[in-house]
Amino acid sequence: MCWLYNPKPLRQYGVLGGISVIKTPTDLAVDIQAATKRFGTFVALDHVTLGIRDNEFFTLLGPSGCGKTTLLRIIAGFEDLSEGAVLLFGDDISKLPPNKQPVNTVFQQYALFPHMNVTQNVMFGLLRLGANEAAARKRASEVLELVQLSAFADRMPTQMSGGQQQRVALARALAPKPKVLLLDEPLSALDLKLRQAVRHELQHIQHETGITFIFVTHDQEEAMTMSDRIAVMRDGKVQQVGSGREIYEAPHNRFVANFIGETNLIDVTVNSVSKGRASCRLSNGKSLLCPAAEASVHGVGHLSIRPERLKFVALGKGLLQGEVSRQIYLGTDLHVEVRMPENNILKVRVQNTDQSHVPDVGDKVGLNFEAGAARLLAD
Amino acid sequence: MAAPVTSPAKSSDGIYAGLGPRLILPTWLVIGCFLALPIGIMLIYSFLTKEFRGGVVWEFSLAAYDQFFFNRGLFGDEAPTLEWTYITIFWRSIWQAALATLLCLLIGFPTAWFIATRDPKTRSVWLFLITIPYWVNLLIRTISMKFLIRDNGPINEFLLAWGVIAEPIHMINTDFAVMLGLFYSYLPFMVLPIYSSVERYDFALSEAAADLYASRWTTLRHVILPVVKPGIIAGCILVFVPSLGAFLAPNLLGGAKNFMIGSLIEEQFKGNAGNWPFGAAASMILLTLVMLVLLLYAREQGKVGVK
Repeated sequence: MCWLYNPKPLRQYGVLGGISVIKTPTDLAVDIQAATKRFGTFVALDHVTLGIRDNEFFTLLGPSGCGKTTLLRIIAGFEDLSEGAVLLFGDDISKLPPNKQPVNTVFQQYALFPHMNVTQNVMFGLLRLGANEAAARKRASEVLELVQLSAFADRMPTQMSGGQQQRVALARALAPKPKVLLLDEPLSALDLKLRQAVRHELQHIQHETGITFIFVTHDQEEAMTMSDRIAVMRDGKVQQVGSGREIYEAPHNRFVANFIGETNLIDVTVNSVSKGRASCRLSNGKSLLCPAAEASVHGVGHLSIRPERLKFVALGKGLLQGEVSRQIYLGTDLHVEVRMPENNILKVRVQNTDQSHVPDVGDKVGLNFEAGAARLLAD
Repeated sequence: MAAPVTSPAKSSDGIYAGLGPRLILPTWLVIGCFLALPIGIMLIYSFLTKEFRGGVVWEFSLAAYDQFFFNRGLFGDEAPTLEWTYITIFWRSIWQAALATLLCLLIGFPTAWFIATRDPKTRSVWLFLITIPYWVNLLIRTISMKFLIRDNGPINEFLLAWGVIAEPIHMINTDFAVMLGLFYSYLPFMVLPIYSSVERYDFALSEAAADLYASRWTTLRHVILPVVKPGIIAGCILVFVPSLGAFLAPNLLGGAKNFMIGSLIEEQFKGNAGNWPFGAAASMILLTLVMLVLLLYAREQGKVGVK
């Protein structure tokens, strides 16, 4: 397993763990091709095709049961694919057992070896790869320095806090210099303050090491703050891939719009769609021209407008009107709910800068938004 | 003034307050009457003088221990030399018990692993199956074993009938028979503690090991075995200690040649030929050996410090 210490990328060899594989030139770290995974009759992954670039912080985001963890376990080698292929720098790794794959995992509950101290935990992978004791110890202390745990090198995992254990797990997975690091909801067991601190640390370590990170989470804020790109998943299918900004500003469908942040969905009649713009008519008869997701259809459609893009205007002005039904004080923001004539509720987010402009409960108000702030969704 | 608020848990605690120390009383009583007291009697008897029809004379004597360790000739007037008879019996017992423990471990660990990795619903069925032999008295089970492994028993008959062997394999009245008997008697004591350890084993650790390039064998050696070690050690003690003092299997399966400690002690208290102080002394020596094993175990546990 000399590849570990070899600076040349794997793809030049075409051989991985002694097994010859077909080479395809690619710039992708991980190339997932029509991956399908069935457990009995349940389809956990349904023809997922994804390309994860080298040196990228990539996040798989979705609610529980969406297949994100299954996909991670397939890349790690813990599960076999039913159909499709997973290429690592061009080499097919979908048939390799986990101990032959040059990827490492940070487990959700850390899975630290309870009978070994921190250094022994970190050295484990290095020793299995044939490194000698001294080299492994040197590398372990390097990695422990990176995660700021040098002072804890001789501790047992059970004597450490959750946050420290999490960093040991990270150090252990980084020590063998994996081609790709997989992180399975590693922050979910930490409390809020710690989670926020670790986010920055993870991002920093990813930049420092230049290792491709594949991060699984159900927390959209976590995904937004750390990732270069995010894949939103649902029911075993990828819904949308893009940067946090792209996904938030231009959600593809109703699921993505709702899952990433808050949104208002407004029913409209679509008159025409061309070149990414749609002409729509609101239920009150007013028309507007707004950006549209690919493949959005004629007929009934849904507009997504973020609460912070809706503005209060005088009654009779603006595109919409309704009656304020609720006001929630959130500190930095005010959350106002406006009941529409069709009885649906629109959420408005107002910055807490000048409270005199915020209408009270019971007020009839006009609402306006720039046409560019709304987006016609694909479904 | 507001009344002090007490949570429901706190108030129910109040009802039972002070009961705790009293709840342990029956246990202390049982341990005192049926464990500490008999051991105390044994300890005292081992330092008394023997009476010829069994029983003891209340006169202090080290004769029992002297007889165990030293040979002073037929009339007791020669210079003492080390007496090997009983030490040999003890050594053979330890050896037999150790072999039986090893055999139990080799068979018991995979069994426990198998049960612990089944579906939770079927696990209880497997555990139930393990306990079924215990519905029959140990004496009857040991006698059945004797019939099974006789020269003209079913095993030999079967092998002869199929032409696997030309002559019956002589198994009864051998060390092998004793070991087989001990193994059969105490196997569940190995399976159950290992099972409870393996059941609590977090299989994510095996995945982590595989993820860190460990083969199956390395994972077993460096991760699984160290983590489930408490169960393995508990199982080994539960098999080794009773095997050491067992007398049913050695008596019924081992014959006169394969004397073990249990039989030696039993002899001393049987009929009129016995020697109570000597039996008591042999028991105390056995007890000391067992305590040493347990102390080593306790020290090992303290050293590892795994919760």
